Amino acid sequence: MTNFKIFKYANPANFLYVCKKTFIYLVLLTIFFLSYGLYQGFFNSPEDYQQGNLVRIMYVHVPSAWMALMIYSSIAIASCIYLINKHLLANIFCKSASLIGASFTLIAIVTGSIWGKPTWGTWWVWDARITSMLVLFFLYLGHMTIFNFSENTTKSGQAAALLAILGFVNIPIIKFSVDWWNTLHQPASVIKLSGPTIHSSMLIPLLVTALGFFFYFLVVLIIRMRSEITNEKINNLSFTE
Amino acid sequence: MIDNLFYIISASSFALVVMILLIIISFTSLKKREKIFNKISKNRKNN
Repeated sequence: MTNFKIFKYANPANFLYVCKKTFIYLVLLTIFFLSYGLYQGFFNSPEDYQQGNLVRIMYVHVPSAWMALMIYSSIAIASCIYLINKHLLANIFCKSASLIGASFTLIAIVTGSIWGKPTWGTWWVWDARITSMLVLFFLYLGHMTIFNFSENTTKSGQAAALLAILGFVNIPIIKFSVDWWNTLHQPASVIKLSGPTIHSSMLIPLLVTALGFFFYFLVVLIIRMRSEITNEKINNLSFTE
Repeated sequence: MIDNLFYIISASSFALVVMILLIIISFTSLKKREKIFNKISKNRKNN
C-alpha cells in the first residue's frame, strides 16, 4: 500500500509544492466553469414545463448536494487511510474538508427549502431525503466539533475519523431515500443506472456548474490545508521551544 | 417579467454569500497563521 505513487505526495512538503504549481490554474478553472455554467443555467437554459423559471434554483441546489455527498465520502476514505496508515496529510485533509462539506450541505438544505416553498407550499417537511441531509449536516458539525474539542491532533483525529466512517452509512441512505421511501422529494434524474432523464439543454449547464463547484472545492481545500499545515508547524515550533 | 424571481434570487444569493464567506474565512485564517509562523521563525533566528 505504501508503494502507491499517490503516497509520494502524502508528505506536506511535496503537497505544498504541487499546490503552489496548480493553485492559479484551479482558480481560473473555477471562475470559467462557474461563470459559464451559471450564465447558461440562469439565462440560456429553457424553463421547466411545470415549474417555470423556478427550475433555475436547481443549478445551485443540485451541485451543492452532490458536493456535500462527495466531500463526506472522501472524508470517510481519508479517515480509513489515517486510521490504517497514520498519514498526517489524511488527517489534515479531513479537518480542512469538513467545513467546506458543511457549507455545501447548508446551501443544499437552504436552497432546497426556498425551492420547496413555491413548489410544495411549505419551507420544510420531515421527508426521508431532507431529513437524511439534515443528519449529514449534523455529522459534519460533530466532525468539526471533535477536531476543535481537543488540542491533541492525533487523539481528536482518530475520534473524528471513527465518526466519519460510522456516519458514512448515511450516504447510501441519502442517495436511495427517494427510491426506498415514499417522499415528497423528486426521484433521481441525473445519476441513474438507466441514464439521465433530464434534457441536455438543462443537463449540460448543470454538469458545467457542478464542475465549477468541484474546482471551487479544490481551491478552498488547498487554502485550508495550507493553513492547517502552517498551524502544525507553529505547534511543532512552540513545542520545541 | 420572470415569475418567482424572489425565490430564485434568494437561493442563488444565499449560495454565493456562503461560498464567498468560506473563501474569506479560510484565506484570513491562512494569512493569520503564516504571520504567526514567520514571527516565531524570526524570533528563533535572532535568538
